[in-house]
Amino acid sequence: MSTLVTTNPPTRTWRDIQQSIAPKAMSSEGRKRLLIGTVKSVAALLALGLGGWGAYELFNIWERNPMAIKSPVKSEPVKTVEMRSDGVLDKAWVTRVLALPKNAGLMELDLHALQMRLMETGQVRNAVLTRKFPATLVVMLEERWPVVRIHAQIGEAAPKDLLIARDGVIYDGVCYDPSVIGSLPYLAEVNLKRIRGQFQPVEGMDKVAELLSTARANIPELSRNWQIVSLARYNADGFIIVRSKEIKEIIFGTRENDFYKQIAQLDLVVEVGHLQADHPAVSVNLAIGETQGGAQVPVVFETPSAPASASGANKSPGSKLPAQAPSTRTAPQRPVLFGSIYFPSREL
Amino acid sequence: MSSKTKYIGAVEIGTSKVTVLIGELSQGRSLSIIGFGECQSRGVLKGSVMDFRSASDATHSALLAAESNAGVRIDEVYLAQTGGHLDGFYNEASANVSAADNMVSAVDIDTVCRLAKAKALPDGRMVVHNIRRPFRLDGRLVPDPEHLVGQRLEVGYWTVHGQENKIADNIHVIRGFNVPVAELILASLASGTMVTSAEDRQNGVLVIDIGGGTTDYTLYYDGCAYTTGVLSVGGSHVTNDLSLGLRLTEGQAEKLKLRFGRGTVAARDKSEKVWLNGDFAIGDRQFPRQAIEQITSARVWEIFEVVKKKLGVTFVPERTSAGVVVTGGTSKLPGIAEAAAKVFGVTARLGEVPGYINENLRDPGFSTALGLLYFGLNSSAEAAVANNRRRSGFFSRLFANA
Repeated sequence: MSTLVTTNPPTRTWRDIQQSIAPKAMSSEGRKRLLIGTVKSVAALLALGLGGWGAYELFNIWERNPMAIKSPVKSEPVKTVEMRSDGVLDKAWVTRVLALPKNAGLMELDLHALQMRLMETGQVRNAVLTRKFPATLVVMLEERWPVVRIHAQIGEAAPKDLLIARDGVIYDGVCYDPSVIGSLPYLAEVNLKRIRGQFQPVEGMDKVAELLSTARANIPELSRNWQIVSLARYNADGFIIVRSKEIKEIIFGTRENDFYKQIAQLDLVVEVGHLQADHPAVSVNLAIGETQGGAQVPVVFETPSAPASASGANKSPGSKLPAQAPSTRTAPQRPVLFGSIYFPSREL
Repeated sequence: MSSKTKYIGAVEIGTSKVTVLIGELSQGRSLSIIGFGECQSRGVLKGSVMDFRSASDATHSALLAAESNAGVRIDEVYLAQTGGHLDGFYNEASANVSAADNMVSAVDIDTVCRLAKAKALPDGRMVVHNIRRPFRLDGRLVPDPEHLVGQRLEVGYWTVHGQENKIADNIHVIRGFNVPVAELILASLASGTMVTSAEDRQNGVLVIDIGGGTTDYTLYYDGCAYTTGVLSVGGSHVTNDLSLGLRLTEGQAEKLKLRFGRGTVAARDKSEKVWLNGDFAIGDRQFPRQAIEQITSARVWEIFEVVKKKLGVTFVPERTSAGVVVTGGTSKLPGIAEAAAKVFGVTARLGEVPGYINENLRDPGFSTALGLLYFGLNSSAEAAVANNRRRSGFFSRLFANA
């Protein structure tokens, strides 16, 4: 059963009272609040308007010329290139390699591409490029230092000397003093690999570098005469073969990782060899002969000339050595003189 | 202010003081009281603004003090309304249930509620509150009749109304601070909610809030406010009586009232005297303690008698199991609860706010402001629930995963 409802007009409640009040009727604090509220509202409206206008402008630019948005801010052209390096490279080389376009803006430079360009040369291990406003490009280089050199011919070009650093990287040495390059031994009997025109790093160069630095530090006179470092037996036996003016073949082992000991043994062998200048050592193998109490170093001496050999056939060069002096071998296919020098371990 | 945090101010513009509390309402669900400001009232007489400028200055000082205490700005105000101009009447309506199966629908409830509220007021009067009493369905009391089966649905409203210009004056005092008034709440309802428990209200309780210039009361039955009223008599009348009776200035009388006033006469020795100031300075006088107590208790007694008379037959001691609760600044007079108990013939006690309220705000003078904050929290929570209901409508659910 439904009821038809008729009601009087709604009664007035306190909510019908107008809450708006004239600023005059407000207290000073009320007016202050009103002012702050108005300022806030106006500021919000302005911000909204500005935001909208900015978006509209941006949209217009995007429509007309998108490149105007994409292109970086125009800056001053690069006036100076500051260069710092821990090696031999100079500012002229850096300028030449970077080949910055004339009037190139500082902000327009692609620093990553420039860094790659510098590091492609191989001589630079690491390059850091920074912008120094308003118009300076700062280049900081960390260089590789050569350990050996290698004589190589690339394609049809004339053969030339390349340098190899401790990490095996091969590069054209630039700005080095010729005497420094001249003092480096050659690396021989190594297979160079090229991929996409770039030489692959040579394996074992860290060992070679360690050997050479140990030799330079302890036997500078001897090491100065080292002419060739061969890695022919490095992969198979772990041997590094050095050819010098005095001894044709010095074999170093890399497995024990103690070049200092081997250098000391070599020094002694050479010293003993000097006592018998008529039979200089031809080959010294420092890689084998380790025993519990010391080391046996096989040394091959030069074969004496016929008369000399006849007269000296009974004279063993090792006869002046201690009890373990080398014995004389006369087999034609083997070296005539073959000695073994004993090094008590405590002497080394 | 984060979008989910609102700072609400509870403002009571009383005859003797203006009290402001600031609550931080978080997500409409929890409220922390973070600021408090109080100022001696000026330009207010018997709960009505008589001097707009003075009343504004006092109220704004209290608002500023509260804001600086809280370190925030108030977003909206819950304002207590009192004054002798407030009056109330009861009106009830009934409607037949419209559905063929006699199941009460939301439309039926809406219809009967509109009918009960639709009573014209004299010119210049406007509604402050429409307080609904429980529904009756075929004579039985039901809190929510929807989906229940019955034939006749009845409901009654206690409508509190007041003079438009006086209510507007109150609102404009707050608007002068440029803060909107979110809700206008009867002072006795606010304090009554704070000092009584839901159980008290269910069992029947009479709350009497004796302020400086007015006495507000609310009678609760069945968990609802049945009757409210305001008397234009308060603590200032007690002071005035003392001033007249003992020939003192108002300040001296107030001092004596606070120190020696009582709701009942306790002094048996007529010769017992008390000093006005106690500093033995020139002008310091002695007064009989019994006289002071007689004057103050007489006025207190009279206030209770008037309240009882105004309640008339509505007040049934047997239905008021929780007794009388006295609150407001004047309730600090010793023995006032005893006086109430004697007048109303039921148990009486002083109003105490819930234990979770800070110790500094447990004074009976803050019960109205605390009640306003309570209303603020409840209305926000209701709004939040209503919003959630709206959000979980068909289309919201349809596009919930979009």
